[in-house]
Amino acid sequence: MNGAVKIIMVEDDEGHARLIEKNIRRAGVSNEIVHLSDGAKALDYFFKVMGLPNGERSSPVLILLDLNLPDMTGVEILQRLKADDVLKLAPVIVLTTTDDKTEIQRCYDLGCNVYVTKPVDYDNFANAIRQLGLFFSVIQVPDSPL
Amino acid sequence: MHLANIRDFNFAGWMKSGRVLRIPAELVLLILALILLTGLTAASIFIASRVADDRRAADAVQKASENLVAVEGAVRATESAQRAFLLTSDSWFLNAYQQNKALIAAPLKVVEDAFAQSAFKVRYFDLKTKIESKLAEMDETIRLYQSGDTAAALSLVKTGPGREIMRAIRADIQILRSEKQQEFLESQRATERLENLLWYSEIAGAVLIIFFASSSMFMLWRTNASMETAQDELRANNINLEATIDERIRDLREANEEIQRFAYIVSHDLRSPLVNIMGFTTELETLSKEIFEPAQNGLDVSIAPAPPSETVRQDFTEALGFIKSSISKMDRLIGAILKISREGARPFRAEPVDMTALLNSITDSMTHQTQTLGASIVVDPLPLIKSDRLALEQVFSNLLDNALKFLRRDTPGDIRISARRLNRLVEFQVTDNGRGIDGKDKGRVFELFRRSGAQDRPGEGMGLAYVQTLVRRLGGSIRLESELGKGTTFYIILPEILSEPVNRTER
Repeated sequence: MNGAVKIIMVEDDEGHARLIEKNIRRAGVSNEIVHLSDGAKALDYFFKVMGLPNGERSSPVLILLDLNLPDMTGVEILQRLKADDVLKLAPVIVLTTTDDKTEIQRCYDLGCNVYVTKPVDYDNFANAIRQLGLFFSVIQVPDSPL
Repeated sequence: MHLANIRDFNFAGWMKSGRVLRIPAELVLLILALILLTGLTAASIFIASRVADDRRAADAVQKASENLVAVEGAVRATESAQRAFLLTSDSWFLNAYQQNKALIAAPLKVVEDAFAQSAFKVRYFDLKTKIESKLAEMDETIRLYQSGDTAAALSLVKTGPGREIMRAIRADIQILRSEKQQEFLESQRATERLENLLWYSEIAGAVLIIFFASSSMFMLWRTNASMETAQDELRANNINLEATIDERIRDLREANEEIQRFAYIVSHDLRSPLVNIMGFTTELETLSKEIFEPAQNGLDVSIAPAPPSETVRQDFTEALGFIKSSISKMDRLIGAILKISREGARPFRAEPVDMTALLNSITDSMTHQTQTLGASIVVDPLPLIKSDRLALEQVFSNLLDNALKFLRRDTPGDIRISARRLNRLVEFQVTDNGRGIDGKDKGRVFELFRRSGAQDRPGEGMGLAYVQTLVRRLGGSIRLESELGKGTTFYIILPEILSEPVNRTER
């Protein structure tokens, strides 16, 4: 499973998206980042764009998911991702402002891999991405193939 | 006085205060009845002993009478014997004389005892004297006869006071007998009178006792009945109270849940811009290092090669831009929250509002938008209701704004406002043929800062939350029916007449 792994970022706030992007890049991760700004667009992307025959459905993705979307909750999207046979394999990092314990538990129960509360500690965050990517060959450190 | 413990009773204090112990009337009646009963019983016993006395007195009178008769009999027999002896000088008659004389003493003694306490004592002693003198006379005649002076003896008998004395004795005895009888009868009559008195007292007493007892019972029964009534009332009040408490608890719980939801939303939505501010100030920090210590190479690898100063300038501008926009977003959010909470406090004033006119004026004010969008708003005849005009204006303005905002691209907008009466409520309907709302979002659209569907229209997600607050305060409710892609209908139920409490904050 080689090939460029896409980082799909579902985040409605432009500022947050920009900060995440900057910090990922700063950490040395150079994969393509796809930015989807609301739930409808995200579902569209996951199930329509990626699901097209001969489409990119089977290509690996790493998903950064904000729970606080304007048109639906991120939990819904998480549920739908984990319900799909192919997409459930994609690692999901939940990024959100809430630190409500029940919410956190729920996300883990649904199968997210990491739960990160904003404001994000970007060092750890970048590290987490790297760690996750290791078994998935996500990271493409410049000039150092895995 | 209710005392928890007899020790708590300040006896000295009570005595000093001179306050009378509140004895219930029933107790007083019972005590009176008891006293009466005791009195009647004592009187009965007294009468019974008097009756016994009477009986003894009767016996005594009988005895006295009999003995008087015996005395008379003995005296006469003695006289007969005396005469017989004087006539025949037979010693047998002399014996008889002695014997009969001896028979006088005993009964006379009895009579004397009987008359010892009598009022007629004097007469008795008079009798006794007479008897003694008669006996003495008779003894004298015998003595004369026995001494041989027959003539003197006989003359004494014929001429002596003997015959007179005898008659007197007989009369006296008769009188004594009747007097004794009289005495007895008097006493008996007195007893009879007492008995009658007792008889009436007993009747009266019994009646009074029955009266007291039944009054007492009646009062007890009445107290009991009033206690039961009080208990029933208390029970009913308790049930009422419990129902009211349940309602209040429900209200409180609802209000509490709403506050929780509110706090959640607020903390999220306010934290979000904060994250931006924090993040980009960190970026500024990093950038400032670049500016003031440009010796360290920039770490940005993904930015297209450009003079570091240009990149840095762009980053700087970007960061500042985000910071400023986040700050103003926070400001807007806080303003919206304040607005909603303030609206929860403004006192409503109920006045008659012609809803048709109101809706028409709102529609007129939107003419520009409707023309631009090619939409039409139709206002059916609407009833008159008594409510707060400003709140109604805001509710329907918001709903119409939304209806115009979320039209379908391909269909000309068609919005209709109608109403129907339901008892003392009026249900308004705002129907549109816009893009509709997904079933799962039916509740979400009313939440503060939340929206549903495609995010292609401006707005913060405040309108419907605001509308819901207002409608609730007006004493009504709002719900929606919708079909995605077809249209939406909002149902707003309002009371015909806005009632107190008008200043009640949001339930």
